[in-house]
Amino acid sequence: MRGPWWCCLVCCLGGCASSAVLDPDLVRPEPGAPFLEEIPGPLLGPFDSASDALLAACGKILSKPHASAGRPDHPSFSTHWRVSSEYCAWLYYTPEHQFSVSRLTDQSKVDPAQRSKSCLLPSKVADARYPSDSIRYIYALHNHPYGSALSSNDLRFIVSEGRVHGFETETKVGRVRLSIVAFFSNAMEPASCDGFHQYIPLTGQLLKWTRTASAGWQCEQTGRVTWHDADALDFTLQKLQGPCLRGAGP
Amino acid sequence: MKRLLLVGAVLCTACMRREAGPSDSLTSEDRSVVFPEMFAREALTVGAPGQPYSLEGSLLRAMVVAADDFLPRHQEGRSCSSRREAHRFRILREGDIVFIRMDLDPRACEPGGMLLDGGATYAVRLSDGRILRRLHDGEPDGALVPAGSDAGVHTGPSDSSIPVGDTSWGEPQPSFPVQLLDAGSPHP
Repeated sequence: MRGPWWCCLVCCLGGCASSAVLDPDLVRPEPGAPFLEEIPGPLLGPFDSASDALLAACGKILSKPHASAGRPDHPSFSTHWRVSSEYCAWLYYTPEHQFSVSRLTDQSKVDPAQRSKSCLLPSKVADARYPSDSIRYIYALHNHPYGSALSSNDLRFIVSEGRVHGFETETKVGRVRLSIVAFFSNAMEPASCDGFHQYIPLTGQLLKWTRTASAGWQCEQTGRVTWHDADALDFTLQKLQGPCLRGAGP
Repeated sequence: MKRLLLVGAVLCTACMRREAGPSDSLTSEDRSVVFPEMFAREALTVGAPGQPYSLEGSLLRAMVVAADDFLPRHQEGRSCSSRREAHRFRILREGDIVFIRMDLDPRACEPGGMLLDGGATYAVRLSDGRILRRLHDGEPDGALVPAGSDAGVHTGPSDSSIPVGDTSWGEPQPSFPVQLLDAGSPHP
């Protein structure tokens, strides 16, 4: 039988009250307040290319405390996993034709056992320099503490956001498609930007980008997602394995 | 003051002991259970109006056990995402084990209620209703093969002209539901 939840809440509140000042790169709701409905920006930028912005965001997110849980064969992996955190943000395109990255949030679903990891990314970016409807959404960003593939919630999230913001945006470097990425590091401390998983709804592609010292950045097609209903509730995932090549499927 | 601190410490310790269930630990579960691909095939949706369905009691018990564990009743008031009616359940049976996938329904907590990750798959034995293993989003699936990149890419070199993270080079998917495209404004 589980104990009264309120006493743990008291303990948690006490712990939060004595915690250090919030990292200025992060935003969170006030204690007891509802989840954030928009996330402020910018944190990083402006950038001329989406790639440069993406890699800057990867390094920034993975530099945050407990963004990586390290390897599962480590004797303390269970502990590392419990204390690990997901951070999320938007990479967006501005009316000045630049790419920017919003601030980060780690607001998430509460799990007393600390096994469930999640991040609640607000649907809107609030950049005081621009009207809200002039911002275009390019990448939903987050980290996976153990480099795992994108989850079904991740896939549903980005399709849902595409319905709101659009699945494609015209930029100064051409048309770019909305996608979601999950960064990962192979090491825990210090974490580094070693790769990311990516899903692009308009093409159905699941990709895995990895960086090695010898080959630089490489891209692998790991799967294809097919939606079976207009509400994007049910999908199937076909696993694939092949390099990313223009004009050729794996 | 010392007495107050002592009482607080005892209270917290008691809470932690009670909140942590016997199988909350990653190491206390049956790691030999291999989770199947839950999305390899299209699922049949239960609940069509006028269509009767039958369900074995052991399967119902397994689903209730999984839901009670992942979405405890005493936490349902905390937020929309903690309610079981805000979730979608996907089940796949293999012999005496049923695998139960639980995800937040994207329509349930709008606006602003969509989670990245946060779902889980449970393996429950049908014959006794025991949870054999849980796999939360992001956790290693047990094969101890790093999902990260240090194993390298074994599929040959990719096209070096594709910028990192670029989304423009793939072919559009013809089967993408057109209804989903009828939203948003693609041009600034």
